[in-house]
Amino acid sequence: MKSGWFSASIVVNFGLSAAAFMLVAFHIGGVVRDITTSGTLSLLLVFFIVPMFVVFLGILVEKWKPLLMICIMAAFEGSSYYVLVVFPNAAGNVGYRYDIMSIGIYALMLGSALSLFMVATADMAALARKNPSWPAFLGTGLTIPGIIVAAAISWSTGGWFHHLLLAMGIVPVSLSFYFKAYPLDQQRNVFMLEEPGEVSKRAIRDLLKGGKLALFTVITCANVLLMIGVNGLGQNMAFYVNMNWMFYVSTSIGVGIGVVVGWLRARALMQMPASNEQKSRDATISWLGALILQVMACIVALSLELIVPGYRGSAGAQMVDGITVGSILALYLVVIFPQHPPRAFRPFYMFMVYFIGFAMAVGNGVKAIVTTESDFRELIGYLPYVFAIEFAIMTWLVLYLLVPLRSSTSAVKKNPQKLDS
Amino acid sequence: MRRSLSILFASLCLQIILPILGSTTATIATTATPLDSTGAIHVKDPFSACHADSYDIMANLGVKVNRKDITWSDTERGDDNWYWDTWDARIAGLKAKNMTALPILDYGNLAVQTGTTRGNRIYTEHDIQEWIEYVNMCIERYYEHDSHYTKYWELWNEPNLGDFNADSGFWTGTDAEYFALQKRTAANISARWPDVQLVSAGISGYDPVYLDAMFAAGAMENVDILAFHPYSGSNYDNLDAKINDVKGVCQKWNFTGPIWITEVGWPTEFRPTEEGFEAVYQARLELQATIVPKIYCLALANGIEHVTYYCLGDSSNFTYSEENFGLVFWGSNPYKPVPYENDTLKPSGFTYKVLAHHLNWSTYYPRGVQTAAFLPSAPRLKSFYFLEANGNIVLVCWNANGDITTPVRFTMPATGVQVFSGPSYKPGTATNYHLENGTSGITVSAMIDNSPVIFLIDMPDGASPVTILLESDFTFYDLSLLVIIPGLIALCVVVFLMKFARVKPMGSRKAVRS
Repeated sequence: MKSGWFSASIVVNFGLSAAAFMLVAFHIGGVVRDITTSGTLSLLLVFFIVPMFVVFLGILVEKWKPLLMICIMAAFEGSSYYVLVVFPNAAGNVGYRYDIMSIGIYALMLGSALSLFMVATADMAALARKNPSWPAFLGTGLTIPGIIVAAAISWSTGGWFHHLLLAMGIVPVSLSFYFKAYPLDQQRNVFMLEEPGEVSKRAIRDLLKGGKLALFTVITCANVLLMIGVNGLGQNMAFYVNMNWMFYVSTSIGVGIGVVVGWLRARALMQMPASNEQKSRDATISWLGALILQVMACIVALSLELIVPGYRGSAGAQMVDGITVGSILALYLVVIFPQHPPRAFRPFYMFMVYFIGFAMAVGNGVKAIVTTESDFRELIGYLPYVFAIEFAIMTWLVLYLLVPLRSSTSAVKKNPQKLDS
Repeated sequence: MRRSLSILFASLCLQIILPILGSTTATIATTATPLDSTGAIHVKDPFSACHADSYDIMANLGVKVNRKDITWSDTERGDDNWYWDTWDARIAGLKAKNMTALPILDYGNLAVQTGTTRGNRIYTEHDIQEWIEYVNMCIERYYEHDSHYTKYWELWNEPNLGDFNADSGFWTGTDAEYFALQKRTAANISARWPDVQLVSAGISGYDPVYLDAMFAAGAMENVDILAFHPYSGSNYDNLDAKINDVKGVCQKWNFTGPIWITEVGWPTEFRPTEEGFEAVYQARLELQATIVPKIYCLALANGIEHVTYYCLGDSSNFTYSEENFGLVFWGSNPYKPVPYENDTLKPSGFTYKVLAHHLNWSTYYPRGVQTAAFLPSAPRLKSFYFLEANGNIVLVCWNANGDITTPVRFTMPATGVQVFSGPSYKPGTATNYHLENGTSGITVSAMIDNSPVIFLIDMPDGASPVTILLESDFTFYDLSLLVIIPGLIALCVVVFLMKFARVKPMGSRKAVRS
């Protein structure tokens, strides 16, 4: 099979594994609403350990990746079978009581789905290194989960049967295509998407990069959590789920916005044969732009939920929130794709996506909190403080980073040869 | 290699499909088997409603008990200024319809208390003595001097709701203060009237921690019945788990008395000013109707002896959930959806009525229904078998997997079958079933989804009770779990093996470029 097929399989696998995770995380609120302390610990422990174990394996044995993926698939399918057959259906967002083992198996399902998404993201990031059209690939990949989750919501009647069934089906289909398209050489060696030497050569070296990405991840996770959570918080799930497909379909529009930004800024950054200084500066500008865009989008979308009477739960709210979440996710990947560390290429992406996945799961949990209108108003009263904190961090970062940028830009203007050094 | 793997895959698929197809056709079994009475539970007067004032409607619905606050502040309007007219009329109205009351002794009385100036908190000795005086006056009037007519008395309502020292809230003292009050009240009543049945304060929810603390504080001493209010939003499929949690606390403290649910329900509020409110209102009404059979079936099957539906009727504020829990429309409701515009009862009222008229004095048989257990969909079919005193059978059935509809079929040596199902549950409106007369009786075929379906099966006089063999067809759900998904997994494994079976992942250090 040709490399074009392999690229396509990477995009499809990325989209379908993201879809599988979103599908299985959709009803987490029904599981955790009446959860016990030991159940919470079991959930967090397994949901933490499984993806972290995969990250760890990603560091050690990249060449065993296909085997790792099929093992994760086995864990996912096995745990999904258990959940589908044993767990009550969470139709109507009901809370249930589960024993620790059941919660652990549920967490294994979540963790393995997230792990597949993490592995697929690392592949996608590697593909981005090789193909200048990667923002289009990213956009295509990120559009898939929105459409699939929307279809599952429309197909179901509020429960998780169709969500899980779809996830259980698309994972083996996706991996079959991926394995089939996987290139091997004459000696049947496992293909490595990114050679260690190349990874190191293309890394952007910046002393502040770790801190910047950490802050960016924290803010992105907070925004994703808030958008998904507030969108459904205090809504009557029996009616909310009938409208929620619009949210997921609209993520595609938001993804488009992120892709456009990526095409204009990050695409050149990934490919440019420039000095590390210039790449670092451009990366920072790209990063700050994405940060400002997503924070402002989030603040606008959440403010509409708070201020406009009759807006909450409407089709307009679903669409605006979906567009916002889509753009946040796309911008996040657009920013982190060119900014990997010199050595830990694959684990870096897996680690970053892990936090986003966790935020999405928590957001889905938040929306299941049963609240009355007054409880909602009380809870939502804290949002302006969140906005203020985000805004303050953003302002500080802009000022803190723009000053050195300005000085370095001046230096480059004064000494253009420095670019070629 | 590829050929052998393909053969392996094909044989694997056949191994899965053939036994299933074979066993599906083998599930058709119609022979009536005698009823297994293991674990049978007798159902006696469990149908109760809160805040009901229309005794005719209550009798029509089949309500047997009226749970209502006999609040201290309404009863003692100033120190020793007693007012009984309201409750005298209530008791008279209930007696006229052969119903009884479950009065709730509750809330503070700032006209009498000296220990507090706000909220509902009774903790000083003076206030406790005044409270006990009120309690004694109530029980003297409606039990001792009324031929023991009102035998059951509930101590307070939802004391776990309310902030400490707040202006409002059902209990605004500490938990310890409430437990002490319940303990003293129960000790006083049981000492004076040993035959009075005391019901513990129905707590909001089923909080095992609160109940545990209540037992630990000795508040359940001299209390005969434990009560709780397991409100569960719009889906009660998890009610049995909550009941089991409460039972677990009872077992821990060796409490062997009955467990009652003294409030449960779901409101149908809506906003008449919002666009499209009619559809929302109708959907809520129809969803509420599905809740009633689930509550009663799951509660009775788990040994709950009494279930008070909260509440009988709606009021005029359509946006306030508290006024829209009812089984009966507000008399002047101008927003009734078209299918119900001429109805007095909400769809939930119709379900309550059919259950109350048929399940009262029936017996629940946990082994009354046998299902085709080998199919993955079968365990999701919830079915409840009640044998009426006259020999007729009530079968209530729903699919706990809310997303799918399962076709079921059973044959009974019956003389007739009535079916009640959503969305309206009105008599004669069910369309999701088909009856066929045959030599071995009536064969009922029905589509079962998340809305309970109630089958009233008229059996011939003197017929021995028999088990219902509920056959469920092989559905897409079963096909997916038994064939499609395993097939896709097998395909993936085969592709993986074909691709990587001879790969040397650690053999070469040389990376390959595409």
